[in-house]
Amino acid sequence: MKKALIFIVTLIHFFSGKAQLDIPFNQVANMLEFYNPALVAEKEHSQILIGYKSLVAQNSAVDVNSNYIFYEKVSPRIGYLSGSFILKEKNNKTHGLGAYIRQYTYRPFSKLSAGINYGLGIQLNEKTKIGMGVSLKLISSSINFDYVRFIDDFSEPLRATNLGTHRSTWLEPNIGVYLNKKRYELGVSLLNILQKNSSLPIVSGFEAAGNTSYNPDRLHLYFNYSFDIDSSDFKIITGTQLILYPSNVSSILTVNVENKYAGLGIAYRHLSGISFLASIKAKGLKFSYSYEVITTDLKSFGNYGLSQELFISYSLNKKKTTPSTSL
Amino acid sequence: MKYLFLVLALFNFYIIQAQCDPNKNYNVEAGDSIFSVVESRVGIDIELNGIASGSAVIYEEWFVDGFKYLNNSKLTLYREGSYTAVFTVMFEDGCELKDSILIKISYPLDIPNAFSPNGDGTNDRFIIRGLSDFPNAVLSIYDVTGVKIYDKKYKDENAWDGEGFAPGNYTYILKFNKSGWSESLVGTITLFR
Repeated sequence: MKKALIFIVTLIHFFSGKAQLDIPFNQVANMLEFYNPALVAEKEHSQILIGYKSLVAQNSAVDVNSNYIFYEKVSPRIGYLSGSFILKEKNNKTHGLGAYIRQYTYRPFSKLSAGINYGLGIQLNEKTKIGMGVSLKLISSSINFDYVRFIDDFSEPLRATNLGTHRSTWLEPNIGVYLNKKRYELGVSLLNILQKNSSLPIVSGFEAAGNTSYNPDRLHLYFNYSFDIDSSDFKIITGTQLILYPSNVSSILTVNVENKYAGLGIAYRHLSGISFLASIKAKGLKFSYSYEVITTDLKSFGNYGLSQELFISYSLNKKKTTPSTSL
Repeated sequence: MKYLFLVLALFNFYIIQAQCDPNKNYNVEAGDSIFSVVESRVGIDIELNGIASGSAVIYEEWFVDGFKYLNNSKLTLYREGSYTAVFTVMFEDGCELKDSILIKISYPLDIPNAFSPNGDGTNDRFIIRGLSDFPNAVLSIYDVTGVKIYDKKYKDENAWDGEGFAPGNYTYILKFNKSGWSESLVGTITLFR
């Protein structure tokens, strides 16, 4: 069973590619509850998490007035704040509640997501736990056309300022389940189960001509496998995470070595980047840092594609000192 | 400094040397008119023309920001900005006269930062104007995670149409070259529908 799962997940991983609207966190295992609501009942203790990611991207453009080239820094950014709380533990059942806010900015796009999660975890036996959960996510998206510059076949280059700012808001219900055995954990979540699509303007010439829809992320799958290093307090945790979109897959493979004080790891984002992860833990606080180096041709453009992530989490009622299966 | 040269060009200022005969009707003109400003783009050939009359000419020289060019030769500039081209004529009687023109060089390409492939006939492809002067241009597109999704020699008629890709921001690398000069640009392009 375990080997079959590893094989399937690895296989899917190497089919990944294509595009997506957001940039995912590399240390996404730290914020898995954003994708899988069941995980708020899986956590060994309640926690508050703050995360930030920024990506360096240098943009070059031709000024519409002088027709001179100019360079500007464009930095896609994500900010994340979440809280997960164990409400009740009774008869091998755990109830968890969580909430989060996530802000994504990549000019001209901006997206604010806020959601609440409920999860139920059931301890089937000493080694096996299952969980299920639901979440409701409110998403507010905007596009600022002041930054948009079209060129059509006939006219001079124009800024699409007459389109103004386009805004749309929608609700996304999500469901998720997980299976936690002694050494491995598998989670699957269906995102946006009502298939409510994001609304984007149709741009005709330099004017908005109605709206079109866009399917955001649809399915999230993660798989972690951990084992102890003999005669030490170190644990190795390997993980893979897949986000399936209507026509694409994004995947990350991670290997972490950690004990109760610190952790070091490396993550590989398929066909695009390698990250180095580090974390330290003390008195319920955990600081995590990730530095990613892009591996495509983009790396030849200065510091293009370098991204940094910072996470700070705080466990409210710590029960265990051993590292959890989750990365 | 360039403004000084601009003033010189506007007034078509002739520096008349001591050897020039005041009874002769010398005429030295850089470019086609008195207020000459030549506008062109990076990598595009410019033809510098000067007129000299009034006496037999020993030699004519063009200097563009200090660099010498032959008269009636083609000039190619690879940096944007304003240049001053000085046309110097030496007549057989020892009279040396100069005239100057301003050359304004802008970037060779018009690159949008968005397109909307929805079949309405406008902005349906990622068209980069000016690339027809660089037939070896290659365009590569990357998604937001850095994965390369497109890599082709650029042609207007089959420029990227975003087929099968979601709305959002994509990064491009554009490589183009001409006569030993090459440039690579990186930028973002937003796909709408």
